[in-house]
Amino acid sequence: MKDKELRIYEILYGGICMSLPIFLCPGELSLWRLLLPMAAAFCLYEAALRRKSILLYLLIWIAFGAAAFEAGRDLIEKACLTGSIIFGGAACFYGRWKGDYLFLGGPALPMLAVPAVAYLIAHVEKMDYIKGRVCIFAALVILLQIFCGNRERLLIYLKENETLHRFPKRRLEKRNRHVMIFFGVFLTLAMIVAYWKAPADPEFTKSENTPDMTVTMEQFEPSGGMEMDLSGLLGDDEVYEPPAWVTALENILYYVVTIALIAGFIALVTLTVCKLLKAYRNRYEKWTPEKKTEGGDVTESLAPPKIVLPKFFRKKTASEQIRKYYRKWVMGGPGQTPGNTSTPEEAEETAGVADTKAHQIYEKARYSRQECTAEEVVYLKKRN
Amino acid sequence: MKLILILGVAFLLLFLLERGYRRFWSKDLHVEVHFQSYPAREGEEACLTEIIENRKILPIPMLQVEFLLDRSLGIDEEENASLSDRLYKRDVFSVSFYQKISRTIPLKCRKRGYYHIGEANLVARGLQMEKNYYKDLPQDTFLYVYPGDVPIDRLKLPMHRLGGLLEGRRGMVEDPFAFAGMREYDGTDPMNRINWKASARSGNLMVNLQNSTYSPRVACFVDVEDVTMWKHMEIHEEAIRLAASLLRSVLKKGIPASLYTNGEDLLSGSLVQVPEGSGRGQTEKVNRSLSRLDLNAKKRPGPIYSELLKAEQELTGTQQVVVLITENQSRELQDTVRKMAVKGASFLWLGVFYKKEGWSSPNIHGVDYLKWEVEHEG
Repeated sequence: MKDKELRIYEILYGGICMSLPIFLCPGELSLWRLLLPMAAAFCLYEAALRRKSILLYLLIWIAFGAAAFEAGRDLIEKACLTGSIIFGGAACFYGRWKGDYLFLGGPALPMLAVPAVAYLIAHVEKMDYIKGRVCIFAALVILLQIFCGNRERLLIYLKENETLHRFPKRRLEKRNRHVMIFFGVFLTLAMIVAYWKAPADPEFTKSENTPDMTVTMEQFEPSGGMEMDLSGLLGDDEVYEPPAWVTALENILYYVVTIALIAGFIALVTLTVCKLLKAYRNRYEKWTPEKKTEGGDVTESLAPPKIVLPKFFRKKTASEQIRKYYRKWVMGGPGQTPGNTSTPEEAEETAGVADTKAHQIYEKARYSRQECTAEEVVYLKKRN
Repeated sequence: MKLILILGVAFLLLFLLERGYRRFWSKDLHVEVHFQSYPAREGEEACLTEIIENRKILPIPMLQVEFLLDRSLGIDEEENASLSDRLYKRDVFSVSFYQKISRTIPLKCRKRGYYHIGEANLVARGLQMEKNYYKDLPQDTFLYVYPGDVPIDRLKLPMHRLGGLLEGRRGMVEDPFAFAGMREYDGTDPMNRINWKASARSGNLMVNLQNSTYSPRVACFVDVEDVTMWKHMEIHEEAIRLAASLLRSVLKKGIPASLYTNGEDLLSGSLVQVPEGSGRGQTEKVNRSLSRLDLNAKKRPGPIYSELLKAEQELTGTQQVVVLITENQSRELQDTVRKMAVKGASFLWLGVFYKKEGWSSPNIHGVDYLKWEVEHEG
């Protein structure tokens, strides 16, 4: 079976390509209408990859085609959605027939020609709403091409060398993943900044010598009074209303996906911040480089020696915790408050508390160089 | 414009990141390959350690370390090595930032020798696993594998013969300052030999024993010249093992020994010869010299009798016992030995031959002969 990560990239690529027509449709972009080609790409790809019967494949294709037709708000949207499903289904079928199960050969840089042409046309026809969308499409294609290409090369390398003794397969995959995450985030940020800071596109102005090619409708009015009513075909005045269930489903899906995205984003940010803080604290908690043995290799950190953090940021050592609990225990005793200059024995006597073991643990934590154990901390904590 | 800028920025960044990695991947990267610090013996196990240190923030997801080893150093089948004229060792590591990885590889010392690793080749994959980057790092590590020991039961006989020769050289003159022990008085002992204090303690008359003024010394000559057009490697290796075992035993007893061969030193190209000495340092010198004896030298070894002739004056003038280990039975060698034996040198001639080969010991007065058989490995 194909690699999971590779499948995800290929499905995403197929979904994005199939979403391109709806990207170019005028009007507000609907999440439901974007997810439909994605869902279709997933189902068609999996059906092709798992070599399910052609009948099932056709059924899925037709079902999504019908759903796409129903989901379109107007004729143009219907045409775009349905056309993208038909095209996507044919492309996946072709991939299955070829044996590589790739949507049009997989993510490739020549696909960037499509958004380039679309951008040019949008600029000439002054359809500014398309420009941003094709930029997003181009950025996604670049990212997918990088991830997909990297994953393929990594898998080939792993397969060639998996028989090697003590081959660090997991470590290699993990490090490669980290590198790709870094690549992805860095490139995305750079492309966002580039888009934001890019100068305005040059405007095309009419030359004086250019003949006036403006075409007006009057030129096409037939003589003899024959008039054709084209409004039904063009759909200028009529807006198609989708069925009520489609609208309701769209609303539900919209809220669900929005909530999921927001929750996912918050979780991701929280997790990242927690990991960073933990890594930062761990780095300064270790006195000596930690030696680990993995598969017969001994690994150790060469990070610069730690700097002592302020108490607030630092995790308390066992000795410090013992001292804190001992103080609480003594101060909470029934007797009088012991003086600052009292010895531990005097303080206990004054405070009216007595526990030989607690006393010994405290003396070990306070006066000796030995490390105290977690059990000793728990013992003193229970005294409180 | 926006689209062009986005695409341009993306490709430029990819290019710059890859170039940056290509430039800095090997910076602050230390790769060390070293053998164990102490020598090994033929047949024993040794170890080789690879240490990778990445002292920078840039990780290296894939790093391949390759180096060459001599075929005579065996590695476990599961270790990553391919065998042809030499052993090509290849290991893959994934190194994080500020990380050190140590890997120990067990080795089997199949053959004596001097093994050296002079270079390690590094291969790193680019960030996108597309390109390979190469670097060669010089290394300087060596391992001495000393000649193995001959089985003790086989070594007894030549050692007894040697011991006999050494005792035979012992003169009649006693050294009054070299106390050798005491024994009970017998009627022939002179009165001035009686140790009265010991006699009072024991209740019987006890006399002192003195050591001889004779100081035993051994000179070992090892012949590695091929007597036929064929190379008899097993015979030469066995001869080297025999010489090493004999000299170790002799030096352990505190008897000064020297080594002469007609073989070339692997490093210096000169003849492998160790001047007389004693003690642990001499044992080490002998072991190392025999380890470095190169049987595959381009220059054919000269005849051993010429080495004997060079040392003739010393061997005949002082009371040394000469141990000659050779496959050679040539007339010139026999004449040389006869001439030196007449002049007073004592010889122990160890003839090293294949088991099925016949050998007739040359009949020279004053020379002790012993045949040493070697299994033919086919």
